[in-house]
Amino acid sequence: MSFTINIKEKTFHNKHNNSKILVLKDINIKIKTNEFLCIVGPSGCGKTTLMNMIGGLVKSDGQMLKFNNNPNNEDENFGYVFQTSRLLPWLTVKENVALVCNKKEINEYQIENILESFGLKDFINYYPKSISGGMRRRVSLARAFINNPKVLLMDEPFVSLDQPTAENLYEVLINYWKKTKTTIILITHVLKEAILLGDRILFFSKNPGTVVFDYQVKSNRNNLSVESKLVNKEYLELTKKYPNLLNGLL
Amino acid sequence: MNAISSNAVLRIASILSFFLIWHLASIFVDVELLPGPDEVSKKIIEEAKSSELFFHTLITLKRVSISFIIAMLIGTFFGLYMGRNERANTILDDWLVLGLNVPALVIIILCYVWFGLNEMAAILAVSLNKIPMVAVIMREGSRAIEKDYLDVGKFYKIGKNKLFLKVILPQLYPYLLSSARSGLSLIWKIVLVVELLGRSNGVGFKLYGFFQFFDISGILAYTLAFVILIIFVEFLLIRPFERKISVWK
Repeated sequence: MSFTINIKEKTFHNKHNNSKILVLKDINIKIKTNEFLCIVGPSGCGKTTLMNMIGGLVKSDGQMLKFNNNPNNEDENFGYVFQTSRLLPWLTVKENVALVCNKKEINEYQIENILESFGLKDFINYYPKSISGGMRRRVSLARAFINNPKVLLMDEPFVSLDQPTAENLYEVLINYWKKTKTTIILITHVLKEAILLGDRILFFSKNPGTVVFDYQVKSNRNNLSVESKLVNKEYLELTKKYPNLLNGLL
Repeated sequence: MNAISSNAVLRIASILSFFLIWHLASIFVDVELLPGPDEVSKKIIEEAKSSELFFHTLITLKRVSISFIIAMLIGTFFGLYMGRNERANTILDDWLVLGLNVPALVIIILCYVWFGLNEMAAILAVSLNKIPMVAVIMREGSRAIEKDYLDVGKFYKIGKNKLFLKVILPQLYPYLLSSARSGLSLIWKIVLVVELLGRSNGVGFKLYGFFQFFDISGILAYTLAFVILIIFVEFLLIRPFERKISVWK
């Protein structure tokens, strides 16, 4: 049971000078079911494009994104936590989650239930503008989980959050992930975050993005803090051995 | 005193000062040229008693309503289409500029010449004058639709109806309100010209009659009555709707 992504190349058309920009090249990734995969790479290396291709927001041009050996991704159930919460400001917290329910059997009770498990019980009738940034991310997470996705895509979901808020969300995410057995693909530019949360980290090169290093994480998520001893130790080992890894060079 | 009642007091004071300035001006100017509010009120009562005021005002209101609905529907359709489709915008943009710049009077005269002095020509003339303005506002609205929110709908494969009603329409509300507001104020002014030029009833027709007899009281009486009606529409329909859709702000 696995999820494979094979992309030979992905280009975008530049309208200004009528040229093509190569964004991704030679991507071959195999992800196991229930795996927590992190992708780390320099800015502009095509991480978000890859995520949008998996999620169907950017055309894959017939390139292979295969789920459990089924080339038809239409049948599969994905969730997406975007870089910004992307909650519709004119809908309440509950309405935002209800909006994306694509199964008729999901009822109001289940929506309230998931919001409660994400600590939003008292805010279900609030508009996004009236709640904090951390809460908006929680709503975004609840929205992504409501359809019980097989694969959850997360594009820098903790960016611009303060450390206590981010660590609180790590806990919410990990607890829910353990409960639902979802496969998670998380983009982050914080290596410590990737070591803390992920089972595996893929390091991407500079543009055009390609995988330069596939790393199996040793830390065990016992203490969900980016400043935990295990995370720090692994971070130092990794950056000492490969000092240019975060710049996309092995 | 809370903010709402304080605002109400300011509004009432502002309206009263308008009538006071009008009254003072009427004292200094020849009463034939500028009758005061009392004279005009008497004329309104007189016209209301003979049912003339209601009859002609309702006829004009009917024309305003029909033209408004037609202009909003067609203008919104073309505006949204042009905003989302670059090719359609390229083809229709010059038509829009043309429509915006042809004087209202020319369109009215042409409609009467081509289609005759009838109701259809009158409504068509008014609608044609307003459609380009609605289209321009709605084109901007359509361009302002957030792609990020559309992506949410696209990613989660929400149905077309849900996408339109919950994601697209709320983003268009400010533009719809803006074009409705400017539409109402422009349309009723054009309707009066249309009635003055080619109809045998309506406020415009009555104004023409008063003009013939140099009856300024009559002109001001009908104008005031119709302005009050439009203000009622604003306060009873548009503002409550605006409050309802802006509650999240």
